[in-house]
Amino acid sequence: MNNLSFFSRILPIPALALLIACGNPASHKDSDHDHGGDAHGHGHDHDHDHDAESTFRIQDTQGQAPRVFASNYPLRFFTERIGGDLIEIVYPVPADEDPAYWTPSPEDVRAIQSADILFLNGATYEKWAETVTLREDRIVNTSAGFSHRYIKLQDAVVHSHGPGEEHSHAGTAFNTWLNPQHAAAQANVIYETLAAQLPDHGSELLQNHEVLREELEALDKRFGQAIADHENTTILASHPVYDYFAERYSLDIVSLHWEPDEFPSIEQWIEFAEIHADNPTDWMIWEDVPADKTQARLREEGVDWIVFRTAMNTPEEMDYIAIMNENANNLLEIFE
Amino acid sequence: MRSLFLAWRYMAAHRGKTAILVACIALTAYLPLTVHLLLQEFEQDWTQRASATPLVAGAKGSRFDLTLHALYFQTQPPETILMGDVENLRSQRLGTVIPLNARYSTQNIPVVGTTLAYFDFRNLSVREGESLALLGDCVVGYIASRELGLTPGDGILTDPENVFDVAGTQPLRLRVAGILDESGTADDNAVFVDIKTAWVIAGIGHGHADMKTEASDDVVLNRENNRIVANAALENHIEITPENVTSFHFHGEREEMPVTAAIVVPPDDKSAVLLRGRYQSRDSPLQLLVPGDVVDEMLRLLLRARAVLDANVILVAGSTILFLILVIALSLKLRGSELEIMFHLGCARLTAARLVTLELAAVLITGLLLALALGAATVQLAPLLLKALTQT
Repeated sequence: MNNLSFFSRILPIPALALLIACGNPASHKDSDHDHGGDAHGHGHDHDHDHDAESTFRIQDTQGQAPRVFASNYPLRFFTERIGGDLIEIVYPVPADEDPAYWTPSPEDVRAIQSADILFLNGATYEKWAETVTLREDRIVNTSAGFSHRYIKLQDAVVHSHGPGEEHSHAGTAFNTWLNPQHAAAQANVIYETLAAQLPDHGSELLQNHEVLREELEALDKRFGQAIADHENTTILASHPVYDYFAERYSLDIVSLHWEPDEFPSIEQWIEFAEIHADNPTDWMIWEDVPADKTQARLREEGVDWIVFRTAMNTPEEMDYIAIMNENANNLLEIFE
Repeated sequence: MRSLFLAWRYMAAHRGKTAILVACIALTAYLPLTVHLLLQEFEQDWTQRASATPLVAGAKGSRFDLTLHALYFQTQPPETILMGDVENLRSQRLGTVIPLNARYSTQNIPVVGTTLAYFDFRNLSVREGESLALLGDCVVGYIASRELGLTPGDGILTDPENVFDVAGTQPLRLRVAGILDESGTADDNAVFVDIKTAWVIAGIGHGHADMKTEASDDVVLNRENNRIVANAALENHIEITPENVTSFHFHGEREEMPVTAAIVVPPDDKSAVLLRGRYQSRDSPLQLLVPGDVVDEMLRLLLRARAVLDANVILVAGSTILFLILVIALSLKLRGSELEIMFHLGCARLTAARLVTLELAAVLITGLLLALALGAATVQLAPLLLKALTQT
């Protein structure tokens, strides 16, 4: 065995030298010859070897429920609704952590690596994916189909240092699932991937997907009805997470960076006053119920609030559809 | 039996002459035999690895360089391709595409950036430690781990690309996550990292203090709204740790990242033919090669060189045989009086002939066995000998 490894390491160099010494006539051939030769012409031996190689399959889950990783709760919800008992979900994100800012441990990474399919949200959502090793050939970017509709963030820092060029860490808004149409598109990608992986269960997957698709369509209709005739209304938001929702229903949502459980600082209230002056509105939407003190201060400023949850992580009681329906009900407070 | 004894006694009495004859035969047989054994091993090794690699994709140019690079990580292809080209190959859905970036090294051992699919494809398993998990992790081939004395948890620095370029990319300290099982291939003498880690080694990705919140005023030249300019004193991290990993980022889109070659594993011959057909045109940014064909072509050239060597060996062997015939003829002439005495003592002419034939056969067989033993020893020791030669 050592001899083989030796040849692997050492002999390419003298072999090349020998080729050059021989005049390397082959190197003068037209490069098209490389591809243009007989595609079948590598002989029986190679065909045999190739057949042996063709048994290599990365995704071989025959006889076992495929393990499917989803990178946030909405994707997990869609996957579980479509795949049901036919799949085994892998979701190592702790319930109290925002999956967008989660940093997986090596053990988490190995759990993700064990998955047969990795459903990612895309749109720069999984920043942690840049710093871990994943099985790239198993990654499915569920938002790739509408990547041309990603919303670029405006407040990215541009910087330069050393001899390198100026660069920015700009990203895109990533809460794609708050637009039910995008959510439906992502669910469709999940359905198609699972259907390809589980061809024997096509009808069951299709049926599950149809039910989910109808629910998402109904949700889109509910939001549309709630906002009807109120397009271009200005609303303040506690966090810049509603870009896709605002785009879908033509709302003018102006975002702050406030946490529901923290009372904003004096600087933040000054910024609020300036923004409010430029964008007069009576309403502010929050990801969660704001602190009592914040509620009182907002009332003093003449601004009422509603909760519009993003459903980014696994809820304790409701599911994605129920949360979105509740959001639609809350919106009615603004527009009725 | 008596003839054998007499032949043995004769050779023992003429040790010097017998030893010269044995050495002549052994050396004449040694050279072609050893060349044959070495080339057989060499061909077998190359053919095995090449035929186990269905397709190789890379920038247009020397197909030998590209194939050797993708199979052995030794030569560098003239140009890199982009990750976007790899994604395009993947989008054809005609096979698994495994990108490689093997431009860098650590202590002169190639550092190969790739994906986990490479380990599945080459059937490489981790014998000690764990596989790749985080940016900056590496798994080390068996021989490389022995040569560098590495165990899981150790660190190794990558080699600077150009030692005279002090402003060039900094070495990156890699964390040894695991050691691979011995495979008997070029993979034993390589260090494997995630392809994203290879891009960090290339300086396309890096980690540093957050310039908006953490960078000190000493390194910030200008801070204007969302535009911050720092000087070169802003330190990039040279080691990726759990504490600083989130500060690592890449400049540019993933599609623009460099890839030196890609291995393509179609599920069947039809997919391979379709894929090659799609990348056949002159406008294609890639060339798609069948490594088996390229290696066959290289071996044909090598065999052509071997034919010259063989012709030389035949001439040398011919002259040696003539020399041996001369030596034997002269020896028999010198032994004329000795043989005459044997006839007078009543020894049959046939017995005398048998005696001489046995002596010659013993010399011939001993010479050939010696050549075989020397050849086998050379094949065993060739790795060490040639490595010593290539290092001096």
